[in-house]
Amino acid sequence: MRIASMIMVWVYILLATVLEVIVASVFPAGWVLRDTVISVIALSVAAAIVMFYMELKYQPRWESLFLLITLFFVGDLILIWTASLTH
Amino acid sequence: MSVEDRLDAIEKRLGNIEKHLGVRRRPQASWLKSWLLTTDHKQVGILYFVTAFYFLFIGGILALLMRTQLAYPQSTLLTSAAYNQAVSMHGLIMVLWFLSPLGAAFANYFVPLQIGAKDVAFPRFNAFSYWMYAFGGVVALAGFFVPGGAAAAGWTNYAPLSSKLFLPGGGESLIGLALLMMWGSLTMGSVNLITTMLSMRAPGMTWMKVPTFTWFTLVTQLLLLWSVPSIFSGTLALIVDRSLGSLFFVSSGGSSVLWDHMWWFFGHPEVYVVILPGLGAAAEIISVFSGRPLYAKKAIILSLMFGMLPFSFAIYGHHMFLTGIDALQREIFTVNTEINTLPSGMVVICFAATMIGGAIKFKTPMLMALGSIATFVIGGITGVFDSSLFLDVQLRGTYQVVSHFHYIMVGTAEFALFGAIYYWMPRWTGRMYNEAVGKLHFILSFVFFNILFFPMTFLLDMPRRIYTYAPATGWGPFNLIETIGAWGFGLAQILLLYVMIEMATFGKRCGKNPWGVNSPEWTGDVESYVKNYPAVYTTQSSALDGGAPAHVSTPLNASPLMISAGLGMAFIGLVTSLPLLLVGIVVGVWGVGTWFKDDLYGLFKVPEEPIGERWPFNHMSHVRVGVWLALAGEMILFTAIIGSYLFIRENVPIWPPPASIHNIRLATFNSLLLFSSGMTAFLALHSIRNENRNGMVGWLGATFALAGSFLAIKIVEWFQLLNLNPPFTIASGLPGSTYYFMTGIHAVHIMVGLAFMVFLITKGIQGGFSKTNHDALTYFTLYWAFVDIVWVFLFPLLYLI
Repeated sequence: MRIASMIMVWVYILLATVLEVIVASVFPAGWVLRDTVISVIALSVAAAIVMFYMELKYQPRWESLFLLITLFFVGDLILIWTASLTH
Repeated sequence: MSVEDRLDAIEKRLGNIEKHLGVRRRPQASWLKSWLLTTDHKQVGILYFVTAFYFLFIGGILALLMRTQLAYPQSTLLTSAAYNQAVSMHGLIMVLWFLSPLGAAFANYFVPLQIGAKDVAFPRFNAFSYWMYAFGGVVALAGFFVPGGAAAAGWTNYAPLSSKLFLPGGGESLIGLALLMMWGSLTMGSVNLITTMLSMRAPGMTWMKVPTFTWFTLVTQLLLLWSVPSIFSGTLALIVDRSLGSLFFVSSGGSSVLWDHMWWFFGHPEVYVVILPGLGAAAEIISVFSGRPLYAKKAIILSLMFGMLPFSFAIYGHHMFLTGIDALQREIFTVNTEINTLPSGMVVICFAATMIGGAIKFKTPMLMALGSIATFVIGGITGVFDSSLFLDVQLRGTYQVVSHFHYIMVGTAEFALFGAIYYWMPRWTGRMYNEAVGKLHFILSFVFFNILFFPMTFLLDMPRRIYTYAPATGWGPFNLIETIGAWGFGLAQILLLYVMIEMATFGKRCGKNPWGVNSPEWTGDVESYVKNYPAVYTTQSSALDGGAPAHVSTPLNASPLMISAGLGMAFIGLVTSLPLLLVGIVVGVWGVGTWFKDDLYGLFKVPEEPIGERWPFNHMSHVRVGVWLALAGEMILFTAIIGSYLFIRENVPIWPPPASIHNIRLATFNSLLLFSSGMTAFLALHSIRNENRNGMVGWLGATFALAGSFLAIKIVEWFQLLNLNPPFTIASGLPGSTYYFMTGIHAVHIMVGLAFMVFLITKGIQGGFSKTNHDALTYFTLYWAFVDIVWVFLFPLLYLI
């Protein structure tokens, strides 16, 4: 893989982090859309790290199986725990 | 005189000659040393086996004490406090220190043999798993000797009963620390065994040819991998609550419901962890003693992989029907639980179908397997009633539930594992048990087991956690019968002890394959097995006596024992005495140092395994598979931590805006440092791939500096928060508790990474890496990227949202 693309990813991660802070400071706390935007940016940063720094983009697809199956349990846990209080 | 007896005589004579001449044929480790420092999967398996029975003895004594106390109304044998300790420790010891490890004993010994591997993937970690389990047990039992006595909040350690407010004694703290060791042991064990099964199968050992016991073990270990991290984080939070005054489980925001989630996300899958190894052994036994291949093996495997495995995580809420969780969720849990009877039913039906038309031999292993299935059906049927939301409201916390789960946990698991002992122990020792004694053991055990637990089914109104009761309740006769059953069941196990001693020492020689089974753990001939599959499990008229499979002994190593002993001493010292704590730290650190030294100088080397079946991970080394599995466990750990945070945020209506507490600019700068360290770590890897050793060391140094700076700034940040007016501490409220807990665990990961970097830099300077040999750096990069990802979520959650 090209080193230039890795540096671009790094720059993206830094800019995205700063963007999160800007969104958080500009929009009022507690606004659902604000928190959603921040969460989406965080997810995109995590995805970038997984794809490039962990090199899943360059590995055979089966390697991502560990991640994908675990994500099922991650989703299961978050869904059950956070939904258990709604009445 | 048999061949074995002749060999024994020759060995004895040679020993005498050695003694006479004062020489040895070859230098050997002493008997004790070879067991204490072993990393060999067979020896580790036997260590698990022996230790599990030691804990069975302790847990059994506690059970008999409880049952004797309850035999008559208003009995005074035990005080209420002593009874609570007995019932709590009985549950914990039996589930975690006896039943699960007994399955692990067979898995350790037989899985590598069944798939044709020479050992497990990570032998040193295997020994480490065992010693963490053993010393964890010591820490747990130490509770009986500290003021306040042992743990007394039940095997579930329900909050807030387990808090310092209600149980201030050292026993509850010790059980928390012991459980941490146990969770570490289980996680390491699961990563190890799963990697072995995924990556180390012999050529030709494709998935459908993998023996059934190994399949059941795979599902068991996957369950552990994804379930344990939840309770790992819960136990950590409980310890922090008790020691530093955080408020996870003693406030309305966190509450007992949060603990229930953390416990049962592990606790329900643990039920399958307990029963599946036994059922796997039962599958082998039923097939062998019916003289037929297992019926619909594919259907069983599909039921396990796509039924029991995912569903056990989607039904655990049926343990929480009375906690006030969402009504719709309770209904979903009811439906899911009832659906989950289908895969269990599939397994039972396939076992029955295997026997139909077979030439069944009612030897002791077969009787035990049948006993297991019978109790599984009874326990399963009573469980269907308990899964109903409406019935559960009535039956929750009564002896009907005690009956149900003992039919599953004791009846199903224990009978099957006893069957496994009768079936496989001759393979270990080459000696046979007395069939009449074995059958008597089964009959007495089965009869007394049912005398013990069946009457409980009718005690629909007796609460399960009371230490005595009034005569007017009418529970006396039932309890007396149950106590007679308990003593009978307990005493019947003397026969098991007898047959085990018989098989280990004076039993009749039977060769290595008394049942004449063609599967690899008996014959050692993987090639024939895979070539002739599925024509296996057809018992021969005479024993094959194939002998042991080729096996390379793994080297001895002291680090696993030292680290675990050090940790055990430090944990007991933490609660009891400072000198013991210090000694424990010294021993543990010495063990860690020895481990790294061995790696640095290549002093611990395991023979390379020839590449065999690895589908679907053909391109991955077994170490890479292991790293990904460990990261999968870590993902669940942090998901549980973040899930707890989200649960608390949702439950607490007023939460201070992060900017009113934290220095956002400093935290942002710090985040950028950490994310940059991910880039420099990758550049180190890129350098060595291009044979640039200096570049690699330089970039690793930069990573170390960035990570060290992140940690230093984090510590500064903590001190600033502690000096706020009013101070923002871990005990000042849930915002403080969650903040310090989450950032603290992340900081521990940073410290582990820094230690790893010291090792890599040292090895790099010594020229230990090259273009083709830099696996350790690759795995570090994966780990470090994961640590980055965790912060990607913690930063906005703690500082922005």
